Amino acid sequence: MKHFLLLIILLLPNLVVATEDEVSRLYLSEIMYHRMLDNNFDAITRYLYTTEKNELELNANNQAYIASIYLNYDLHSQVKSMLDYLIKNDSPLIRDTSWFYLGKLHYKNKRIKSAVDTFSKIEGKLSPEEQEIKHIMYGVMAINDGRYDTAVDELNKVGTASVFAPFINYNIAIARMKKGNDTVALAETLTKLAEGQKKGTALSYIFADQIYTTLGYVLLQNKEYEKAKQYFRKVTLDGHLATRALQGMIYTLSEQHEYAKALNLSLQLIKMTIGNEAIHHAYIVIPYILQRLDDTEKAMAFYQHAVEYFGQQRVELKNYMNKTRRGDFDQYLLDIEKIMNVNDWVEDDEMARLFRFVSTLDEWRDAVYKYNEMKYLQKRLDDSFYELVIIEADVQAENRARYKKSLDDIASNKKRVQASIKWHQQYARHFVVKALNDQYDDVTDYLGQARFALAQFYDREEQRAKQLEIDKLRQQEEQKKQQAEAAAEPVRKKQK
Amino acid sequence: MFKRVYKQLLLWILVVVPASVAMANEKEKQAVIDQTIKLETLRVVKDAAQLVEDVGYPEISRMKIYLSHGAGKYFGISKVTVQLDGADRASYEYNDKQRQALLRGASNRVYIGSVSEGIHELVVVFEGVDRKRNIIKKARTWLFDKYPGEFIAVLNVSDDEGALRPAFDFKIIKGEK
Repeated sequence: MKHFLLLIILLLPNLVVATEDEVSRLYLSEIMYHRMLDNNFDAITRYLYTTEKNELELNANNQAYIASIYLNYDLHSQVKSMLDYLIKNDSPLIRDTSWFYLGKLHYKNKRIKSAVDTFSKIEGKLSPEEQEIKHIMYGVMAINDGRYDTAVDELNKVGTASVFAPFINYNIAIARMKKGNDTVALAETLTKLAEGQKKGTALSYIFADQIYTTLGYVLLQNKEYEKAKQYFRKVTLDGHLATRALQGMIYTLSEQHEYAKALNLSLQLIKMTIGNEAIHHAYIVIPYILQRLDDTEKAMAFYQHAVEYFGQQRVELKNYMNKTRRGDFDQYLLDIEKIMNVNDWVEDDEMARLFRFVSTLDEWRDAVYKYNEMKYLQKRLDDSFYELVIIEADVQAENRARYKKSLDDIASNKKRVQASIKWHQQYARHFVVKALNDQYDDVTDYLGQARFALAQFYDREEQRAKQLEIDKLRQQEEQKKQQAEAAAEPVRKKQK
Repeated sequence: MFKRVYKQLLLWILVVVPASVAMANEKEKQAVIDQTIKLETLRVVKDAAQLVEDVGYPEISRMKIYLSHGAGKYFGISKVTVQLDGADRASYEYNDKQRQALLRGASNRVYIGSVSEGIHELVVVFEGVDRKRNIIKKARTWLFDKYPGEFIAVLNVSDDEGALRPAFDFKIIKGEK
């Protein structure tokens, strides 16, 4: 029977026996699987595991690929040494790929000059994908430097079929707009792009909102108010750019002297977020305009309202600062899911208002990202610990020391991870408090302005009242004079 | 009144500004610490995984099965189920992103276990969609003879251009007699 089965095995057409180096290729393709799913952690652990067992033979090109995984996982120190080694390779292709990743490393670290210098060392041609990324990086660097023509040239070098096409078209349009080119035509291009994006994923909606908001502000700057309003209206109301769009709308309406509408929107905005510049601005600008339109009574009432509003804001901001310091908001403020799914965040409570305030601050997002990265490491250490606990009974004498060392390593590393989590938690809090404090200072300035304007009003009103009193007295004097004259007239006539 | 303002300003310069600078410096220091922590955690998790594999699935009986998806003209995988000698051993579902990764040349480990030396029957059920987006299931059976030592095999989905249909192969990479 056994021989019969063996015969079947030998005759099976689809069963192929492979060679040894295929094991290495298989392990590399497994690393690729994790990398392609953005799971850099598992990609690197698989790499470490297979190299230690001598089961992975990497050519220089694959070494550069591994370096790119380390780079994506922000392990810069490791990447630098890997690439420094690879740029000495004999193959021009390997050297170029390594220069490319080294340039990317500089770019990621915002060392723009070093990035450009490194890219210039590439002698031959990169792979199409690397070439695309290089052009995009050059384009974005040029926009930041204000070299808009170069930016457009670089970005145009990327093919239209690229997966980055929407991002590239967006940046081309922005570069041309910043240069002062025809905004209307570009606005149409961007609108088409945004509409196309809206058919896609949640992230595409965020991108579409970004396009609309940017367009709104560019058109506002160009004094094309009606068009600006059209774009601000297109922004998703529960999206994270909703407050920015409303803010733009308020500025536009103020420019158009439609103060009642601007005020209504300001009141809407107050409910959505705290410490918003547009609202503060509206509270100062609106009474000023009313005053100039000679609607003194309304202007005064508005200044009075502004003083109360800024006072309340100061109290509220202090309250937010204290609660943030105490960690009352940590549960929400450090939740990366909330940032990722910002469009689902539609509540209107205290927390939602604070979240809308901080969600646009890059530094805070960075702090939350780092915090969650450490949380992930903690989870991975916990998982490893439980896996070890499960196999404890099966561990033989020869593996006992290894087992103990593994548990000790997990415990000591967990302590360091926890310390880092605490640090990032403190930093995120510190940053939010700092941002709130800046707002507090701004509000204090606005309060001063409102009080000053109100005081001037009172002074003026007092002077006006005094003047009225004087005028009244003068009138009375005049009347008395006239009456006296009228009374004296018959006597005078008699005497004559 | 001015005295109070100056006092506050001085306090701000003395306390707030250095605090912000100190925080920025600490942030840089923490970034270096985080790099070390990440590297160490990677090593520790890798060591633990290695130990779990060595203890849980000793090399002499260890068996690993991977899935690769060479081309996807006639079939797009959504689920794979592995049966060994009549018993369900593993099942894995693929979303779009995972399928795309496979189509771009990556491989996924669908099974790791301990299997004795000798002849075994492997039944794999591939679920997915065909060219017309119809959901289809294809089952394939293979027999193999395992040698003492690690056994590694790959299930490969590809296109059979001649027959205009998908092809399912079983390729032994390591450990066959």
